[in-house]
Amino acid sequence: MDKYTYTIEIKGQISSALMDLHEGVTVENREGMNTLLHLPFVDQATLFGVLLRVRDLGIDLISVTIQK
Amino acid sequence: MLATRTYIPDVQGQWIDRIQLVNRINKGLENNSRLTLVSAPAGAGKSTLLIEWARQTDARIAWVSLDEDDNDPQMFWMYCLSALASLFPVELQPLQDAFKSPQPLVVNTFLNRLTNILASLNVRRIVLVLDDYHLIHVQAVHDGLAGLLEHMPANLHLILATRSDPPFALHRLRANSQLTEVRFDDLRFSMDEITEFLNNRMNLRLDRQAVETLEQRTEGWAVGLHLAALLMQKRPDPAEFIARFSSNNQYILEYLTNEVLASLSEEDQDFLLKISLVPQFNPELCDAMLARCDCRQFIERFWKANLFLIPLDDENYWFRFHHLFADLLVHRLRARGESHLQPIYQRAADWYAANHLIDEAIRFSLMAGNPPMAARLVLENRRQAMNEGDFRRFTGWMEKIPANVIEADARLCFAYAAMLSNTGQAARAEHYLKSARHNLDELVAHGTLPNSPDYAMLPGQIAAFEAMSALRQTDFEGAVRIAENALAVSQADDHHTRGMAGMALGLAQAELGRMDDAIFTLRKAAETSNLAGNRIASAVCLQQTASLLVVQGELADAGDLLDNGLRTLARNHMEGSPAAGVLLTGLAEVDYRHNRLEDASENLKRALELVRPGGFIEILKTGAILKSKIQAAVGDITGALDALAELLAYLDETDNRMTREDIHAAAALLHTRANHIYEARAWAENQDAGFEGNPGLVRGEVLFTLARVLTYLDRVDEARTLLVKLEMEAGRTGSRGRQVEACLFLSMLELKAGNRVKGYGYLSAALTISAVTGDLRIFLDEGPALLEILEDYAKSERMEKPVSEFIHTLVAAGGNSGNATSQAGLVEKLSERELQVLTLMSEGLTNPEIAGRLFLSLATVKTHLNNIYGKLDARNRADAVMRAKELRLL
Repeated sequence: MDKYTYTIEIKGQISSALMDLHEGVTVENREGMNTLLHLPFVDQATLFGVLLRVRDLGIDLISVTIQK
Repeated sequence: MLATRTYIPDVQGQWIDRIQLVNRINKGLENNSRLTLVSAPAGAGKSTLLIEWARQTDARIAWVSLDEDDNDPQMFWMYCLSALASLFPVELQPLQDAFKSPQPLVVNTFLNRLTNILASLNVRRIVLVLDDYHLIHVQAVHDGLAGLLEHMPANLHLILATRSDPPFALHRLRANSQLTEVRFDDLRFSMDEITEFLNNRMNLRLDRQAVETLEQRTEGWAVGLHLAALLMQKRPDPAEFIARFSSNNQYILEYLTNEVLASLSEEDQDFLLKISLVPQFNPELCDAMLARCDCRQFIERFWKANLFLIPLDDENYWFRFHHLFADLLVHRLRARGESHLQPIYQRAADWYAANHLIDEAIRFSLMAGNPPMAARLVLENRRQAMNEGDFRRFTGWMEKIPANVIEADARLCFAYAAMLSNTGQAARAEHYLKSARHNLDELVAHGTLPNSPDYAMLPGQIAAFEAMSALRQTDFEGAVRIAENALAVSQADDHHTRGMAGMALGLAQAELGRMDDAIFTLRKAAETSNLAGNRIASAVCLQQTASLLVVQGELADAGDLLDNGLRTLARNHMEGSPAAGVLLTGLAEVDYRHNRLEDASENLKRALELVRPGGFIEILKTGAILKSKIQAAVGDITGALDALAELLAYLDETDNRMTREDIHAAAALLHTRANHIYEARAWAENQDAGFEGNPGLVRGEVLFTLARVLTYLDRVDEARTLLVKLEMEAGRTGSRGRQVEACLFLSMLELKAGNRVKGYGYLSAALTISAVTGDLRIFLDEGPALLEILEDYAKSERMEKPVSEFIHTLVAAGGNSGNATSQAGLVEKLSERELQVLTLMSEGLTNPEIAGRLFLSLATVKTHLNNIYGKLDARNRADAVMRAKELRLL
């Protein structure tokens, strides 16, 4: 699997503690806007792991973008 | 296995009626939809809805709360079956027994049986609820469930609660109106429902704007509303809370959980945070983990305060937290640092171990960073897992333990190898067996072999397994050598090992043609295995012994041996076990030889039912070959060939190294019967007629078949040479069964060539021996041609009484096969056995004479006579004979 940098946009603000099980994921909280999850240089298995976490927390998923 | 996983949950506290949704589900059921899918995020109220539905339905409900382990199809279906079996224990008992077999279940077969049983129940509606289906990600489980959906019995319905849509062909179900759906939008609370909940149920008395604010903020999400309501109940000024709540953007669950925790005392917070580490808890476990003694009060308080405690049984003893709540708590705790957690995990592991919850003890000792404890627990509990047939559970444990910990311990390596081999993972088993051997040799070489019973048993155990391994790779000489060594080094009271070694030795001896040795060894191994409680090994030993006895011409002994074996199993309430199936297969063979074709068929059918769920391949093969022989015996050659083709296809699907020589030989013989010269010749070309010493079980069968096929192909000289050699070996080793076969075929060969004296000489030899052994099938399999020969022979030669009677029996039996269809005029047809009795009766034989001729007891003959009188509407013997002649039955 190839590795890329992904950005996941989710609704609302979350604390970084919620993503602590996923190494390398940074949580960018932005004032009054949606939160961005940054996944630098990961494979798709990691990406799906984070997406499942978003699902399991009942958080609304807004978008997933890839930076090749 | 915790019964809590199949417990039907309940909710306490105030909830909103979701009548419309409950009605939607009910309507779907009435319109015979197959699947109700409740697909929505965590905390949307899926389980609550289903619980509310469950309360008002008259359907019989089986509930499974799935978890990660259920990604193993064996576990998944075991839990489903367990839940269903709590509703229908008697009817589903046989399937539950099948799970005790060491062989993994063949899922399709299991599902067929399950659907048949459920369909046959006089129950209007059975519902299987699978909660948290999103945890399943293994395709094999999806495939099995999709298969079930396609072939559902009309009275079964499936409900899935999940966070993601499952990969089934939902659109097809939708198109056929077989799908009922409840999605997030359906579950979201409406303004009216929220108002009802907050103001009436929770007594909050908020104004419309406040409710609207909450509705916007939570978006009708059940878990958010619940937490918010709990918080507001404690506040003097709910409006202030709402203002603060609505003015920030934080993920509401995190915000609310933090608020809840902030509103609790330090002690309460500590309790919640630490207990969130275990998936389920009870007061004692909590006390152990927190080193307290008053956790029961905590639990009661939280339960009353509705703080997301979910009971897992009727006694309010086991609980768990709502998933989301637990999730957030765990993360809070982790933020404090992992090293703080390990002591808590260790205390949990200790509690689980002390309470015999081994799976959890192992898991938590690993999380506590304590692999040695995990390894110790596995070792301590391996015997129990093995004897209960729970091989998969054991291998599940092993998979969690780091490889280096396993490899460092010879006992662990060996135990793992044994289990892997039992669950059909031959290659991995070999690997660990080698590791075990290597480890053991190192210890011995350095003089550091620990002085414990575990280690004392190990050399013998490893050797016994190596012997079985050699056997499977057809290294028979090697297997004998290693097995004898195993017996030499094993402890006298290690019955399990000695039984296994004996079995390997006996089976190898059988294939080396050392029949008498094999019989002796296997009989002993059967007894030894019984002492160890290893019923399946014992059954295999007995069944193989019986096959050998048949070869030696001891048909009666073979039957007795198997009958005794079955009686022993019955005494231990194991008539429905795979072991019984193995013995019944052997019994079917004996019946077949006695030409009791109906009995053979019945026994075989039952045998395969018992053995098939476990997927015990060797016996399935034996059974299938026998089935084809029975089919051929009643004239259905095409069916017989199809059965063998099916068997070969099945074997190709599964990963096994079994020989197929015997199957191909059986097919070749059928081809000669059906006059498929080309196929028969093709098979014969590929065979090697050479052999040294007495041929083994399988090899011998192949050689005898080759002789028959060569005769059929008119390659008389080759056939004769082979048969003479076979007859000589048989005579030398006392294999009377083979002697008869060889003499019989030689006689037919010589008679065909016009050598009457020689031919009759061989025939006489064959008949004299068979008159004693009672094996009819050897003769009957040769068809009408042989019967004519026998009739001629009987007319022209003088012979001893037993022989002439034996010929009589053969002719009577042969004349009647295929008579089944010519019983027109009878309301209830006579069975084959009854026809035989009738025939002999018509020839003037007395009851004791009939009994002797057909190898039956006197009582059985009398029973048959009564049935005959009934079916023929006759009052006595003369009457019956007259009626029979009228109906042209004789």
